[in-house]
Amino acid sequence: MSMNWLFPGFLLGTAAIALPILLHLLRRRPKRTVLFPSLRFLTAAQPQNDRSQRLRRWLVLLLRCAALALLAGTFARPFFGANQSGQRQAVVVVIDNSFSLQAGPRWVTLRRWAREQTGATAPGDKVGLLLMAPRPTWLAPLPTRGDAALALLEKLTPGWETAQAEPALRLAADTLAATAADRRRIVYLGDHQRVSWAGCDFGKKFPPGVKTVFPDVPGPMARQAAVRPPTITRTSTGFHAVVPIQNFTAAQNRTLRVYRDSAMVSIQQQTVALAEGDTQTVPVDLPAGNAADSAYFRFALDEDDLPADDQAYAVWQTSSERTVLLDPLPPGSAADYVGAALASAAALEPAVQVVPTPATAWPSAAIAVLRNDASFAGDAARRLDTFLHGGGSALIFVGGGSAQMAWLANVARIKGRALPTAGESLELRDWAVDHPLVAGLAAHSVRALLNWKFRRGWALPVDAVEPLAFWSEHGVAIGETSGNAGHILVCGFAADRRDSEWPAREMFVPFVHRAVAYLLGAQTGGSAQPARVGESLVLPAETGNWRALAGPASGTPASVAGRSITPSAPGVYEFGFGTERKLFAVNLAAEESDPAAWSDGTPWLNLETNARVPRATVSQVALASVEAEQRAPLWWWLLAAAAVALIAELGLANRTTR
Amino acid sequence: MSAGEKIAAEDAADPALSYPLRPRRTALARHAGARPALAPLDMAELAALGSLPLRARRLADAVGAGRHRSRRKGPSVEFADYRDYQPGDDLRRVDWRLYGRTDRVQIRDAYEETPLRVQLLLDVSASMSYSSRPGLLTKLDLARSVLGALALLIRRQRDACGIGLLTDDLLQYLPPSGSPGRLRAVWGTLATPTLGTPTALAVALERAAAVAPRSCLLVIASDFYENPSALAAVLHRLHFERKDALALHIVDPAEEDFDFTDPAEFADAETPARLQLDPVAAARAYRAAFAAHQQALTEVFRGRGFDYLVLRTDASPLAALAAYLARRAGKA
Repeated sequence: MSMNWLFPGFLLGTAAIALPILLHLLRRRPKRTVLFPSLRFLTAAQPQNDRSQRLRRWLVLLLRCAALALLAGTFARPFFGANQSGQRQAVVVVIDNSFSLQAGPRWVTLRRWAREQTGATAPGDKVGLLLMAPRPTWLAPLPTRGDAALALLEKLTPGWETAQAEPALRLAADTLAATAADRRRIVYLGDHQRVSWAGCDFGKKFPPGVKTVFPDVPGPMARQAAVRPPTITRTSTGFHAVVPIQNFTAAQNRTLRVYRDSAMVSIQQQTVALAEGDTQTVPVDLPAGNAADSAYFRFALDEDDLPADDQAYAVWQTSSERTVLLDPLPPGSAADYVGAALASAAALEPAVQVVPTPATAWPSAAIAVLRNDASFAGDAARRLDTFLHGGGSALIFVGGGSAQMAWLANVARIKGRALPTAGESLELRDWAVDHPLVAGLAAHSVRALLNWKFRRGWALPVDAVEPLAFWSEHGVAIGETSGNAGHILVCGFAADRRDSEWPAREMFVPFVHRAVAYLLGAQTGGSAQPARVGESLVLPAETGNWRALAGPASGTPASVAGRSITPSAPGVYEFGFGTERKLFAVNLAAEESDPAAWSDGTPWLNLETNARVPRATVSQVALASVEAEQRAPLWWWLLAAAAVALIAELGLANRTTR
Repeated sequence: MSAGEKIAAEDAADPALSYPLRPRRTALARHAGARPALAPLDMAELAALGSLPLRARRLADAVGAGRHRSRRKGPSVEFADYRDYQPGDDLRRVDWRLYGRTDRVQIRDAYEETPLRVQLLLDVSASMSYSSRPGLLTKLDLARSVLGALALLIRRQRDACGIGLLTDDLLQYLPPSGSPGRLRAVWGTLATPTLGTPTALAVALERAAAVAPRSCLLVIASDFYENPSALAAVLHRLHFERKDALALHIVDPAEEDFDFTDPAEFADAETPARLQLDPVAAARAYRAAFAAHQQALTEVFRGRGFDYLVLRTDASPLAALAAYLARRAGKA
């Protein structure tokens, strides 16, 4: 741990040491003559006097110099630890690690440029590395030593996600603004792709004192086309795949090869003529082969300037249609919105078959969607209990019926409480965005979670359910429980337009579909809509083995996963749980493949401001050093040592020739 | 007229011996024979008195000494004791009144007054002219004043007084004499300026001892920058010759205290020797050496039964006069 100074300017006070040294060198020689009766008693003491005086004079000089140095050190307030206020520079390298940086030598060139901009790091310099994709993440927090951070940067390779520049730049700027340093700089390691700057508010300046360095816009790519996620269906003769291919450059002919499973030899090959800026859908018929219940395919173009998006993956896996038991429409309802939502989503994966709740025992593999009070009374209640105990799951919309409330309280141990109503004042908030169901809803836009307003609602007890959303007043609005009564997703509101306009809003169908899909334990994507890198995947079991079968991640050891997982690289993944296995195709985000660079000037240069750093901010920033110094106030010791030196000097100087 | 009144009348007739200050004690009081208490003496006042006679008289008056009595008994007017008549005694000394009252024949003894020969010796070497600060008497001036006062006391007591000046030899010498003009001669000799010669006190004392009469009192005023062992031989001779001695070691305060603060080049008053010195640092060793020298002198003098007194130029010298009187009383 090194020693630092809170006010190093006071160390200039050590120059005062020159004064006693000067006085020592120019000290007054005796010029006065004193007549004395006899020197016979003085000559005897003179030699010893000379030696001791010489020693004392040097000792006095030493003590004076030490006292001055210690006093200067006292005022400079020393402390052990990193100096928070005296760094020479603080640099944050904002790294666009999206897969567009894999194009040609772009990554190597930009990384070398960033190293040059960061410059030679001095001991006091701090460098931070901030990744842009999939969201701003510190690879090396700002207090990292410069050489360590640059070593990390040297080992870094671009990822497979898409990136947004503004959030990372804002985070870097705010962090730098709160860092005490003589110079604060952001070095942007990115390719100025249009998509990365899209939506950036160039009018909003960075905090004062933060400087930016941007590289030049790279030159255009000569050949760039991307394979979009294909869809694959089973036919009587084999498989039929539809492969979208998008061309971003001039017209070109590309070769599309299809590989099955882990084979290295393509099973299909064809040349595709792509017009300039054209998106072409290429149908491919593939042989059935010897596949039984599943197969995965890799569709690869011959390499161009950006090879990362020249491959896409598709999975086919047999899946039995799941059954959704829908209870009768509650009396007085004008329309069956839930039934309509389920019907409209029937074409999506996973495919579901909606049937009315039977008067006999309910199949335990099914999902029950219940909103009628009669479903919780009499024989229906007993069938429901058996269904849930047998492994079934239920989506329950609370309508306030007495039988329903009693069943929830007695069987599910959920004592719902009616909330006071005053117009459409009840609103959902505080969504659990990390829950797979909510994450799926908010994947495209968090606006999907806003404006859920109701005229009536029932608050669920927090200690009885795992909350997915809360009422604006108090209590849980949507909760999940997996107790003795089985797996239940309870909505503390009715899917009825008498209580809300929500059933008529755009988020109603996705919510019902994703809720059912979630309860079915299947992802909403499947082969029709493959998952994207960086998005959360819902896994069909609490725990299982997760491994990559194809793609950049293949060959890495299998890991234990459950509930959900976010793949960071494209490919085909297998999730094995029990005796079952499920395949997932993960592909790249489409927008990142567009190599178009920002062409409207260089507005990022205007993010900097020339305003002066507020003094209050500097004081607040220096607080860290003050706290570090106050934890171990060394200046007391220096002051005490200076006092001792001064006292010794006074005592010795009085007995020393001046 | 008594002897004291006679001396006072003589002094009053001599304008050089006129009293600048009123006498502290009357002649009658001095005749009473009581030991007077030493009156306080302001040394600044003494220094302000410009001439030697004035200082000498001021000192003599301050000590308040009168006539002394001899320890020898004889046919005098002052009663001393009675004793039985012995054949051969002078019948005139029988106290017939006592015989008439007691029928015993007693001889009446009285104190006999005898003159004392005092040889004053003054060191006039260059080191004696030292004074550490303005307003302070030099060692030589103090010695002159003290010896001058002693000469006056001696004169008043009708004793014989002589003077000798010492440097590296016996410079001037006047043998003790009880003549009326001897006082002025002594004062005149005391006024001789210093010659800047170095001290060889043992040699000079040796010469003085050779010429001084037997059974005299030598009063030596000097700063005694001499080897005590060299002095010891001379003092041994004085003791052998039944001479008495009173040493007055005249010391400047700076010599004893050595309270100099500023570094300086110290120059010897008697030799060309010079020494660059930090006095603060050297003070301790100097004081120790000077004290050891004084101690050696004390042992040398008192070992032979002589008196040794230290007189600082910033302190009253009356103790020296009192010591002389005590010595005189013991010798008479």
